[in-house]
Amino acid sequence: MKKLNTLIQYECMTSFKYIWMFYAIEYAIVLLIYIMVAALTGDPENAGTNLLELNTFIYIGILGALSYSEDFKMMIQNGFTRKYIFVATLSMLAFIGGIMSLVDTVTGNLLHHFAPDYDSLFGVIYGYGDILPNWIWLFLLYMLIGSLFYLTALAVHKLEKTLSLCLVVALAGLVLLAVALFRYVLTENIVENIRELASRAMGFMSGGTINYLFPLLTLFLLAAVFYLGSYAIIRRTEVK
Amino acid sequence: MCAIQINNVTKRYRDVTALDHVSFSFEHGKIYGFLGRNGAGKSTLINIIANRIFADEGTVLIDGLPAKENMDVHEKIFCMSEADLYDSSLKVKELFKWIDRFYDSFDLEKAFQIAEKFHLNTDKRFKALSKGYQSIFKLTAALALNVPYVIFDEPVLGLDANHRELFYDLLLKNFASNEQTIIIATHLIEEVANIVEEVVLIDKGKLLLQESVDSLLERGYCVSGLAKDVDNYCKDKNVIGNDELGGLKLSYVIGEKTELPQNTHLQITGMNLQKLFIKLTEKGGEEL
Amino acid sequence: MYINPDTGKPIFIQIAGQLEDSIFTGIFPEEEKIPSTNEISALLNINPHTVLKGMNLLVDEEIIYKKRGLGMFVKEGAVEKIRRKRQGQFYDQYIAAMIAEASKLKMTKEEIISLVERGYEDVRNSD
Repeated sequence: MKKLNTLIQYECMTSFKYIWMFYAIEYAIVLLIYIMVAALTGDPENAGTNLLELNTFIYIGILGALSYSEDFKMMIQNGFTRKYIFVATLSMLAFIGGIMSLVDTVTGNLLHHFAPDYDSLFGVIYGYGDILPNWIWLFLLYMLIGSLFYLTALAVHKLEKTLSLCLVVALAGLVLLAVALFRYVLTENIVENIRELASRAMGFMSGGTINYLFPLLTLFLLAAVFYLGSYAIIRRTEVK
Repeated sequence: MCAIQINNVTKRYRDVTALDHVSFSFEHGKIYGFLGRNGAGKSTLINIIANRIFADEGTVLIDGLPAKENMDVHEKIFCMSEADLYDSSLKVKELFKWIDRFYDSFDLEKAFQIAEKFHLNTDKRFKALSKGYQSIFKLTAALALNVPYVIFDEPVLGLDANHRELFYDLLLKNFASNEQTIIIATHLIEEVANIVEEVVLIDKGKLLLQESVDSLLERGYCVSGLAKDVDNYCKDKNVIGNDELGGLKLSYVIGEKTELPQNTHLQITGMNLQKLFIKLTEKGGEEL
Repeated sequence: MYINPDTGKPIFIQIAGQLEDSIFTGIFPEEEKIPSTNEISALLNINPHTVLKGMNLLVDEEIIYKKRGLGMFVKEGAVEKIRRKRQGQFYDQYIAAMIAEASKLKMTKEEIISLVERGYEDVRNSD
C-alpha cells in the first residue's frame, strides 16, 4: 500500500505543476481579449469570452492521453504492475479533475456574477447558484473526458495503425447508422421517447424541474464504463 | 530456490517466433553474460522477465514467485533497459528522488556519488542529456539499487572507454559487497569476457548453450594445419566452424582434445569467447 | 599483473601463475598479506569468483593460506616450494619442447648441446 501511495503521489505531483501554467495562460488570454474588445468597441460591458471550461476539456484530454504514452513507460520501468499503474492514473485524473472543476466552478460563478454576460457551461444548461451540483457535475464531466482520451490512447496503441483506422471507420459508420435509424426507420413515437429519456438523463424532468442526480449518475456511469474498458486493455498492454 | 527460472517460454509476433520454448535458470550470486546476435530474442526475454511484455506460453519465476504482474517481486529485480522509458521532462536529480521513493533498496547518496564519478550533471533534464549520458543515468540508477537481480541491457551503449572501464569497476565492487545476480546482455563480448562467470547464449529464439566461461574456454580450441590432417583429427569431434587459407585449415572445436598424431604439423591453440560466440552463432541452431 | 584473454588459457590459471610469479620474485614476501580477491578483481576487471578460484589453486599447493578475517598470506617456505615445483616442470616445459622443435629443424643432439654451452658462455660474458 505504501508503494501505491507513492505512485499516486508521483502521478499527481508531476501533473499538478502544469495546472498553474495552464490557468496563467488561459486568464492572460482572456484578459487580452477583454482589453482588445473593450478598446475596439468601447463597451467594456459586452466584452469577453464564454465557456472557459472548454479549454480545460482540451487540457484534461491531453493529460488523459499522455498518462498512457508517457507515464505508463516510466512506471513500468520502475517495476510497477499494470494494476498499480491504472489505480495511480485514475487517482491522478480524479485529483486534477477535482481541482480544475473546483477552480472552474468558482471562477465561472464569480465571472457571471460580476459580468452577467459571461456564461459558464453548467450555467448555460442548468442556471447559476447551485455551487455543489455544479462542481460535482463538472468534476464528473472532466473525469469522463479524461477516461475517453485515456481509453482512446490505449486502444490506438493496442490496435496499431491499421486496426485503429478500422475502429474509427466502424465508429463513424455506427453514428451514420444511428442518424439513418432516427430519420427513416424509427417511428416518431420511439424518437420522442428517446428524446424524453435523454433529457431525463440530463436531469430535465417532465414537470419542468431539474433533478441533478440524473445527470450526475449518467456521467458517472459513462465514465465508469470507459475506465473499466481502459483497465481491461491496460492489463494486456505491452511496452513497445 | 534462489534463481530466475525461465520455464518453457514462447513468444510469437505475427509471423516470427521470437522465443521458442526456452527453459533455463539464472542462479543467484553469479555474473551472467547473456549473449546472442541481433534479433536472437535477448531483448524479448528480458522484457518478459521485467513484466514489460507477456509470454504467449510458459512462466518466469523469480525466487519462486511469478514475475508477471506481481508486486511481490518489486524489490527483487530491476532491469536497466536499452529503450528510454524514463519521464524525459524530469531532471536527473528528480528522477533519482522518485526512484528512491519507489524502491526501499535504493541508495540515493550512492546514486549521487556515482553520478559525480561519471560527471553526470544531475540538474539536467533527461531529454537534454546526450545518448551516452542517458545510458550513464540509467546504469547509475541500476548500480545504486541493491536488489538481488539486476539486468543490464546493453549498458555501455555510447560510453567512451574511460566510462566503460569505470562502469565495470563499479559493477565488480557492487558484486563484491552485495549478494547480487548480475545479468549483462551485450554485444561487446571481449569487454565482459573476464567479468562474467557464466554464459547464456541464445540464437534464433532458442537456448544454444549455458556454460561457465572457464569450462567453455577449456573445451573450445582451434586446430590448424594441412587441410587433410585437420579433417582427419576432427573426424569424430564437434566442429563449430572452419576457416581456410590456401592449404592451411583452421577448425574450431568444442570438446575433448585428443593426442596429436605423429608426423603431422598440427597446432592447437586456445579460442577466446568472442571467436567461440561468432563460430557458434554462424552455424546456429544446433544443440550442443 | 597482466591477464591475456586471448591465450585460451583459463583466467583462473593465469591468475594463479601471476600470483605465484610475484611470490617467487619476492614482490609478496613470505608471511605477508597478498591483495584480496576484491582488490585484484577491481584492478584487473575480473570476476571475483575467478580470482578466488585462482587463489584456491595456490592454497591447495600450500603456497598461500587463509587467516580467518584477515585475508590470504604467503606461507613460510613458499619460495622454496615454488622453486622445487618449477624445477620439476623444467624438463617438460623447456627440454622436451626444445627437443621437439629441434627435431622439426633437423638439428642433431651435438648441435643442441653446443648451443646450450654457447648460451652459458654468453651469460658469463655479459655479467
